[in-house]
Amino acid sequence: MKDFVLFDDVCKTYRMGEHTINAADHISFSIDQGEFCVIVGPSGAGKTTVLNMLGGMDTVTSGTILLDGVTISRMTAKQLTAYRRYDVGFVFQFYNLVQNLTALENVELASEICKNPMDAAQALALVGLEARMNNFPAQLSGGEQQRVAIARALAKNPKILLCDEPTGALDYNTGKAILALLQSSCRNTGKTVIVITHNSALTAMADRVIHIKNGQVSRMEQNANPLPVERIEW
Amino acid sequence: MKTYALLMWNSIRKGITRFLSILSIVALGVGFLAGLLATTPDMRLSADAFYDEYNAFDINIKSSMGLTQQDLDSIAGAEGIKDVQGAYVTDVMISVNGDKSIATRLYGMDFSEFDQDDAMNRLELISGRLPVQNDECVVQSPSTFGAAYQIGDALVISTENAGYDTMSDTYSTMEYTVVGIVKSPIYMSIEKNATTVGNGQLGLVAYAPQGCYSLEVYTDAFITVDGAAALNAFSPEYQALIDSVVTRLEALGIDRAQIRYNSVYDEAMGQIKEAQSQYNANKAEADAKLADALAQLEEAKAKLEEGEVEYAAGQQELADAKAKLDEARQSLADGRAELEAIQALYQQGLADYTAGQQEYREGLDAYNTGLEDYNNGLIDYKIALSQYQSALEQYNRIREIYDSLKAGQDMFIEAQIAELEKLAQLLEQDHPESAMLVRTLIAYLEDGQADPDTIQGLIGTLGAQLDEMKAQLDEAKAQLDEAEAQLQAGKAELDEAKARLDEANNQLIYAKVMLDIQKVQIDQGKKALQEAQAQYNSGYAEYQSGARKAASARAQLDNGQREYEKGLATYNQNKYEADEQLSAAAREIAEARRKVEEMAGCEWFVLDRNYNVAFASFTSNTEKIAAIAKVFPVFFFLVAALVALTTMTRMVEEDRVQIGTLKALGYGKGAIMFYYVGYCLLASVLGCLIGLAFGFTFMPKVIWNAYSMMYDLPRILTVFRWDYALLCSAAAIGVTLIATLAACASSLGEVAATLMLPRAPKAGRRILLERIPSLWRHLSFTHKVTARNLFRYKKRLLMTIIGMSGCTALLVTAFGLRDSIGAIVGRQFGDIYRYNMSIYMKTDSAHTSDATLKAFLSDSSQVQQYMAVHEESGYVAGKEVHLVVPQSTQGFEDFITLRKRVGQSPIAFDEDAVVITEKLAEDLNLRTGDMVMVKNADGKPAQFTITGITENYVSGYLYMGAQTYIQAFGQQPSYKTLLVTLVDDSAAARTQVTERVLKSSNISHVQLSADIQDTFDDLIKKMDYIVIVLLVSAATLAVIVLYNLTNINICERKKELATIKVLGFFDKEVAGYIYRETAVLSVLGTAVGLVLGIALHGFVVRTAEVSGMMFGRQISWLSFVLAAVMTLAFTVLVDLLMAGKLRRIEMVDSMKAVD
Repeated sequence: MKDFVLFDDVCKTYRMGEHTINAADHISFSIDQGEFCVIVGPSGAGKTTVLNMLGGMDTVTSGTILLDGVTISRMTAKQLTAYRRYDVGFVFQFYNLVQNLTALENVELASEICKNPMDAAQALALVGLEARMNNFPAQLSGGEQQRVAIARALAKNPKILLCDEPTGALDYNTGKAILALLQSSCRNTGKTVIVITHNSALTAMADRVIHIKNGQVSRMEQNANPLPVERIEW
Repeated sequence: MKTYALLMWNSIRKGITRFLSILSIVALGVGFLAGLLATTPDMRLSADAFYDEYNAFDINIKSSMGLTQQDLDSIAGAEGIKDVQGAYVTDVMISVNGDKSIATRLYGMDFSEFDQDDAMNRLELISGRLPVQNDECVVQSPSTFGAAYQIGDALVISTENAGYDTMSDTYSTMEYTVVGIVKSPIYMSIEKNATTVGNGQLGLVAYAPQGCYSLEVYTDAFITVDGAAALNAFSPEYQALIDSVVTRLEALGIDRAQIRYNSVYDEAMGQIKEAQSQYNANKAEADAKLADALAQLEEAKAKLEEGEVEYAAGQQELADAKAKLDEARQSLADGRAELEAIQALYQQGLADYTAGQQEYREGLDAYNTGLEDYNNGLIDYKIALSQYQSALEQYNRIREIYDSLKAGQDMFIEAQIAELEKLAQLLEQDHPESAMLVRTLIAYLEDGQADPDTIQGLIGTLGAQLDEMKAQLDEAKAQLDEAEAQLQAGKAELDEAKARLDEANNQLIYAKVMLDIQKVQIDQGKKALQEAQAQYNSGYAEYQSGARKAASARAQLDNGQREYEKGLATYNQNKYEADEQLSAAAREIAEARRKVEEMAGCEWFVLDRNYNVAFASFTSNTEKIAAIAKVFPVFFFLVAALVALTTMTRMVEEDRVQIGTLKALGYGKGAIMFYYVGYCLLASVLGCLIGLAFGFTFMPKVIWNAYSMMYDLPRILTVFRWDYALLCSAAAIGVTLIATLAACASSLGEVAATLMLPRAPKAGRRILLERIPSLWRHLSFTHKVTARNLFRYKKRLLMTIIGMSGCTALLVTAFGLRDSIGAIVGRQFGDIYRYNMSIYMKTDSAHTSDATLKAFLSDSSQVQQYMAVHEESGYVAGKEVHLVVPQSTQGFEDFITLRKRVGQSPIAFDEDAVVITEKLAEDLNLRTGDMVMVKNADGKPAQFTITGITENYVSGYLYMGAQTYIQAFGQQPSYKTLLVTLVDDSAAARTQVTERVLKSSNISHVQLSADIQDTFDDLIKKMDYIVIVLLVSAATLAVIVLYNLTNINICERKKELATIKVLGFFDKEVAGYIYRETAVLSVLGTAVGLVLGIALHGFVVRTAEVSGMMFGRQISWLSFVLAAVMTLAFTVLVDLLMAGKLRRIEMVDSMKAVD
């Protein structure tokens, strides 16, 4: 499906005392269904603002955001919660696992509240953690924790997977493995995956790359032949 | 240092709730502790000021024989005495406005110097003025003494006082007008003073000028001690000072009392001697008169006895005569009966004789007839015999003829014819046929033609006929023989009959003779009887006249006896009266002598203020508060420590990076720690200041107010007490600082580098619950998180449970206190005292003689039932107890229920039962079956075995049967109290009943249960102060603890919360994530608190119980429910408060690196 995700002239303005900051300044782009999309840009460019708005964590000041034909930008707080609950899978930079729940329980945390969840154990198997599912997060390495986070996001069967610097807290090799997992998840499940990063080296592995700079889309390109992660070096 | 201050300021501003939570828990703890600690000294200070202001006495001397001016002078001369004042103090029944009499303490005081500050026992004039004249008085404030007396009320010394006649010896004025209302520290307590008059409790205190007494000596001396006013009356220093003076005065008292005793003794003995000689003279005179009268009576008695003997002899004679008469009458009756029997026999004989004669005559006639018949028969026989003989002769001739004929048939025809002729002739007469035959034969013969055969035939026929004839003759002969035999037999019979007849005749003749003899006898008997009857009659007449004479003699004797008895009765009466008068006089003299001799010496009672009811009860009540002060604040301090610990731990953890940075910048461990210590110190010190400010003012006031229902107190004086302030502050600050140091210790040990890194998240741990997979699997992840968190933070768990249990326990205590006092009212006046009214009579069993009372008690439209009881104040091991002896143990349960409090099972009450009330038993540690020594009102001791301990809340009672009482004390119970159950207990009906009863002159006073109940209801209302204080503290405690817990939980899990928000949790679910934990802890805390509350309530109730009163020990279910519901309501309240904070958590926070 074309234009599965659509940003049309979206602005986001923060007021900080007397100053106004345009975190998003007339941003427009679209992403097709099943694409692996990388949004790239330097720190403070507005990547996270875009992710927050798309993820239903923040509202727009003006403009329209559509996902799968549904207008997210006009949703009430409650509708947004439901939207996050049923349609969006998040992968955080710092994994954001609940320390007091085991890996399996962390996945269940998400799967228990949605309509059509994947089996939690199955989701963990998908990320290669079937052996460690009864471990608490503190007993897992960073990469393993991020895998749990990805499993948690996938288990919800979301329409879209949003990843905010998923490799930011990981070492090089682990980071690569996580990206490989995300890419293969995208390919195998057909989910639309959006990865936000400041690392432009990752653009090579994406179907679509959106460059953000100073709150604006500076460039958008489609990559006909994305490279597998293994072949990318940075 | 400036940056350091700035840092702290920022930190406080940023986390103001955290700062406030430490501050407020410290304030609460310190406020409570300081307040409760200060209350006792504040109350004592206030009371002391009250004493000092009115220059109340320090020592009161009472002398059993009064105090003379010389006594006072010598007291004044003793060391350490500041001032001495003589006064008259007596307890007397006084009737107010002509109404019921009240036990009143009447002070005769010197009012002349009252305007001077150093006047002793000054009174605070509330309204009116001080008395000037002897018939004026002021009365103690109504707030201390039940009824409201007003200015203008007329007080009259009641005629019902024992020894009223001699009261003018004591009082010069019997009637007073109330001119003012006063207060005095001496009577600041509503606890009743005991007295020996009326119902044993003082109902009124009146102060009149000294002139109202006509006593020669003072009854009391009031003393102030040098330097005592400067000391607090409740302090040991004061007590020591007073004790030293008391010792001196007691020593002085021994000498002075002896002097007083001697003078009283001598005077009394003189009077007794005089009375004795008068008595002796009176006795001699009376004895002589009586002896005379007795002699006369003796004489009359002798005469009477003589007459009596005579009478008895006559009586015996009469009795003998009577016996003889009876005997004669008996033999008369016997003779008559005998005669009658003989007469009857004679009559019978005569009848028999007459009948025999008749029979004889008839027999004779029959015999004669028989004889005649016989004779006739004989004649006939003889005729027939002769006929037969002639017929036989004829026949024989015929036969001869015939035979001859037959033989000679052929011969002599002629001759034969002749013969035949002769034969025919012979036959002619008797046998014509044969004659005919003969004639025919003759004819034949004569004819000769006849063949011989015919003739032969004829002859044969004739022969046959002749044979027949012969047969006939034989037959006739047989008949004749028979007839002869018959005749012979008849003759024999006749002869026999004749013989019989003759015999009968002889008998008859004999009988006749006998009858005649009888007849003569009868006639003789009759005559004899008549004679005897006549004799009897004359004898009887004689006897009758004798009896009449005896009766008249008896009457005379009786008359004499009556007169004698009358004389004797008069004599006895006179003798009795004389004896009585004399012995009364003798007794009086002996009694007077005994009294004088046993006068027990004169004794001084040197009493300090501890003997003052108000002072003593005030002291003990303030001690109770001090006891409570030791327990209550424990919660708050424990919670304060935990709040400080958890808060500071959290703070240190939040500041890890900052600590690391500071460390990296080169700040020392001490310096960094100083920051946190400073932070905590600041919060604690501020908390202390606030707590002290509130505690020292507010708390004593609230308790003072609660106690003001029992004491008539001036305004409370609250003082800032440095010692307590320092103690409480040190305790609170110490506790929080230790907590802070403990919190810092771990983090500060780490090196800067590790501190800079985000702290490794506290690892999740498996908990025990997971070992039950069946249960665990069914929990949702939020429940799992809650369960794991609960066990992860043990300090918080402890803090919350202790805090919440404290809150619940306080609430249980607060509501329980109301229950406890409420229970008294319901149980004491509903279940235990089942009567509505008690009537106190002036004399024993007056209700059986007094018409008004009798009519009232039998009026079934007002009185349901009543029972007379004996009431008496006694002592058990120094504790006052009311001995109650019902007239009948049966049915007593309709008036007072005796039952065990636990289980409510009734206690058997019979004549042998001795039942004690629970509070007394508890105080004295008595159990059923224990022996107990009881002194009655006269101080006489007796041993009892307790047979039961009964539920009771007001006063102490000892119930026993009349027999037990009599056996124990050797005296009859005096039934002066009536317990009455009314048909209608409404206010209107009660007034009506009281008015009716009080019309009787035999009533001392009447008490209605409903009135006492009202007093208690007031008490409960005032109790609400304390309930509110406890409620507010509980709420504060709950809010601080829960706020602290929730706040820490939210701050600590901000990222977690943000994450689950991002994951699409609705607000409610996010709240539940945190609140579930709070809720579980609250419920746990509440559960613990309910149990703890029972203990705390028990402690407070036992401590706060006023002497002689037992509060209920039960807490109603409603109170538990209310306490639990309120605690949980506080939880909900805090949850609502925190909801905003939860909502404000930004999802963006989930992106942040550090926890």
